[in-house]
Amino acid sequence: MSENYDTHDKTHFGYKQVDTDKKASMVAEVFHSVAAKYDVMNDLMSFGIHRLWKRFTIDCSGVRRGQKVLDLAGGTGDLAAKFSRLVGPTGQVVLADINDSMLKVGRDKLRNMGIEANLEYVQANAEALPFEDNSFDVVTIAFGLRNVTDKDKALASIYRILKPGGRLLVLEFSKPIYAPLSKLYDTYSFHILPKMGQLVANDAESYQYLAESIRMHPDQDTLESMMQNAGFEQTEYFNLTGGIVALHRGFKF
Amino acid sequence: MLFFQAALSVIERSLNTLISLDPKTELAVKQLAGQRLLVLIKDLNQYVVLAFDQRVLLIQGEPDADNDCFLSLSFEAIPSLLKEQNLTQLIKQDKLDIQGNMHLAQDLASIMKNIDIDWEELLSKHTGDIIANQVFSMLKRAQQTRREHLDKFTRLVSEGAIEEKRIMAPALGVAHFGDEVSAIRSDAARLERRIAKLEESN
Repeated sequence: MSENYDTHDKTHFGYKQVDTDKKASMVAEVFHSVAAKYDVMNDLMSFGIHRLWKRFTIDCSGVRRGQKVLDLAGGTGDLAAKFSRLVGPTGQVVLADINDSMLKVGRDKLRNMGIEANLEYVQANAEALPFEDNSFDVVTIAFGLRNVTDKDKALASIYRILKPGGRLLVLEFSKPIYAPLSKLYDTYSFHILPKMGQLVANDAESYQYLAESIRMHPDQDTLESMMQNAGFEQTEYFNLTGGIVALHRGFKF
Repeated sequence: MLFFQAALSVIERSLNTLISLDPKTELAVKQLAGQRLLVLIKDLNQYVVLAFDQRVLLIQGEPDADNDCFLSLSFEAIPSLLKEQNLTQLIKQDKLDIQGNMHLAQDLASIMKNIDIDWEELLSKHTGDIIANQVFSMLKRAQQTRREHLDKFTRLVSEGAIEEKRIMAPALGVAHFGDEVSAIRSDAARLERRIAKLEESN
């Protein structure tokens, strides 16, 4: 059962209950606020481990030269940068994000890295992707799905645009599998992260939302079921760093 | 689960840092852009893809057909691989298996072998020419002194072992002994053939 709704027109925004149609704009505000310091904060908050999580995602993508990849909620383009190199000049990478501030930061960063030729930038809502059916070989969404208002709709939209044989990779915060780690993680998320956010990004509230939104996101098995309900097959997940993050993978056949 | 990714990350960064420090190597790597090399590290049973662009990207791979060259080797063969001329020898010794475009493997080995970083030039960007030159002159002198001490020590030990303690034979003696053994071996073979001939005629 989806964990998106408590009532038909209310949903969660962290621990708060908000109108469903207001969530997207509230999330947008968060990411407008954090965009400029997003990469720095990722490195600080995760002690650089997010780079290994993303590397693992790329390793599991099986991406080949000439393929078409969608990096959804791709934000500042960490994954897109590597995919661009892997698909080569005959392939294509689309970096999509609903938030134009994040997209601008990503575009500037990738252009400064000299990555331009096979990259396209699209502002898009994961729930209603503006791409043709069966058009992508790989879709990745890293630390973005928990911010989507209607996750089932997003998964269905992703399924539609994947080619038969294509795969979806969802990298997202999840539920730690060890109780002591879980306690440590809670302390870190709720007491240290917001203070870090205040110090570095001058925005404690956004990082409070981060911690809360993680707790409201479906756990590993629930998300796997949601992917299966959307039509994905051979679904599996990999717990990373004790389940703090999980990578879910599913195929469209 | 992330240890392999961490190791690849370190290797990739180190490799790309080294490449960026030598303009010739940088150019050579750019010429490989678009190509992919799949390496199976037999000891770990892991596949690694080296994807060439302006830099080198290392990712954990899957055995598939989207690679220009496939190398299968063990850890101990890696240093030998950097000596390009040993490729054929390694293949004959079953330490290396290459499929696909062998030139890619040779080009990569050649690039790694020929990295030539001007460390003095790099240091001079931070400290100025004079200090960089003095530092490197000091390092060269220290290296020379260390080599001389090592040669002296080696000479001392070998002379002690051969002349004084007589626990080792001199090189000429060993060579002479080897020659005598070879002569005896060929005499024995000749004798065997004569005996066989005599037995046949009887």
